[in-house]
Amino acid sequence: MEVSERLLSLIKDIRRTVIVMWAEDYQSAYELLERIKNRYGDILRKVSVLMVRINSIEKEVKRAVRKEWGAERILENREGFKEEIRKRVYERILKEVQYSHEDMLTVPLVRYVRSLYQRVSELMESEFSKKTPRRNRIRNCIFTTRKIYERTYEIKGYWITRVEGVPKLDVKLFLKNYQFYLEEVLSEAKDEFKIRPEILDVDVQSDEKSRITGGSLLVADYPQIITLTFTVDNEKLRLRAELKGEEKYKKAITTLKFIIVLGKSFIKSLTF
Amino acid sequence: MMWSIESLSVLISLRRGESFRSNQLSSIAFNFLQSNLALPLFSSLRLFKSQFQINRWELNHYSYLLAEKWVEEIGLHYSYYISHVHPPFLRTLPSSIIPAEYMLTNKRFSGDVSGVIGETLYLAYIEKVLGLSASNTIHLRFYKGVTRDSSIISMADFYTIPGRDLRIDTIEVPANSVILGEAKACTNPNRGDIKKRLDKAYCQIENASRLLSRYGTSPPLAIISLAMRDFKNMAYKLFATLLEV
Repeated sequence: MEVSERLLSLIKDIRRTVIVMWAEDYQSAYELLERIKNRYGDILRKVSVLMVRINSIEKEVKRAVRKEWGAERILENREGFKEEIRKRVYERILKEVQYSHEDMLTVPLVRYVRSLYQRVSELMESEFSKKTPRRNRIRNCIFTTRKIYERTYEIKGYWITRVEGVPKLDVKLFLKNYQFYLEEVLSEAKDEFKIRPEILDVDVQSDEKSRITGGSLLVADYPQIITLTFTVDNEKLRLRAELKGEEKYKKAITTLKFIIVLGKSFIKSLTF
Repeated sequence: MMWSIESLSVLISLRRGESFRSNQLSSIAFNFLQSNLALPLFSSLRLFKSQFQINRWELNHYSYLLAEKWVEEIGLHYSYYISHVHPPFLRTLPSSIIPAEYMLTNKRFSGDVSGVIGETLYLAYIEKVLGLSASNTIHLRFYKGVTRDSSIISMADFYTIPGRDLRIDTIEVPANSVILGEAKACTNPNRGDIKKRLDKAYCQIENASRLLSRYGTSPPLAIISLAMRDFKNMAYKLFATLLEV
């Protein structure tokens, strides 16, 4: 049976929020959750009432079965105890509670929204929010950068509007973009460096059905060597950058700025 | 590196009075694993075999967002799990004084990693075999309980929304409906293990569909997938039960 437009839209919005949280853009996730609370307030309220009723049935049944069975019998047969509760809770829900097919489908979703909201709002209110990664934007993509360990960094991003088709990476364009964005951030110091990147190794695979492209690039900008491993699809991208050799631009820009350059260059080299 | 995954799908229409016989299904799944698929005589089960390809990047990608547990580089784990390499085992004490479980040298396959492999293969299966989209799927693991105690009554792990009408044999799934999905995995599958997992998954689906079909409007399709490690052939095989509920 088809479900209503509103429920579909709620599922899509939750899914979107999960991606945004995965990409560690907590500010946007908070805004999305606020919007969900406002836009679907009626559904959330209705289902909350249903959840309260079901929980109270569960509580009553548990109490009654516990009393009937006694501690010893429960210990002897815990599975049977649970099965008995399940059976009685079922019967009572079907007999006593008025709900629709959609209401029941929405119960886990409401629980999901509440949990996400609690986590994100705690994060927004706490000091920790200062330590969450800063977001950057390039074209249709918002991305964050994070240091993982030593000289390994992670870039996670999502598309602002959903893209269609299989993502393709233009390696030549990547080199061009890398040079362009580096010159931009180095500004006046750019003449001090010889920016001549080259690709030493490429291993990229795409799948038409899943629409996922993944692989690795070995980039040399001597004496700097960079290993990039990535996966991209129609919703999100994950890029891991491992820096090796001497950090060529360290005197002029911070490592994090350099990672942002890598992220921007990579994202701008993707076509769908 | 590209791996080939063999899958066997069984179609059961609960709506038309067919029943979920876990004994029979676990036998079929086990025979499929042993590459010895022979249907019981007079069986009316509808089955179809298919094969899909998956690589390390895809496994990683599926697991990032939609797997319950955080396991990085699941593609790398996958390659270990299907290889003939055993977890380290050092026979340091040839005695019965110390029980095997107290020897920390006896590493075991992790249930969590196995679970993530099961979930990622489920996602690959719905995309590459059924033509559904993982990007229209959400994972409800922690929130799936209908009651406060999720072990009493719960929905399935996954909700998937088909973007277009879907037809699998006689099962018709309209666009914009909710498909329930439950993914399980077995690292050392035997008949008993397979049956136990199928029973558990079916119990979850049945619970949910009974509540949902109260007014005769149930979700059209529920999928139970079981990823089984095929140690002999260095692969995983996927046994999927498609239930018209």
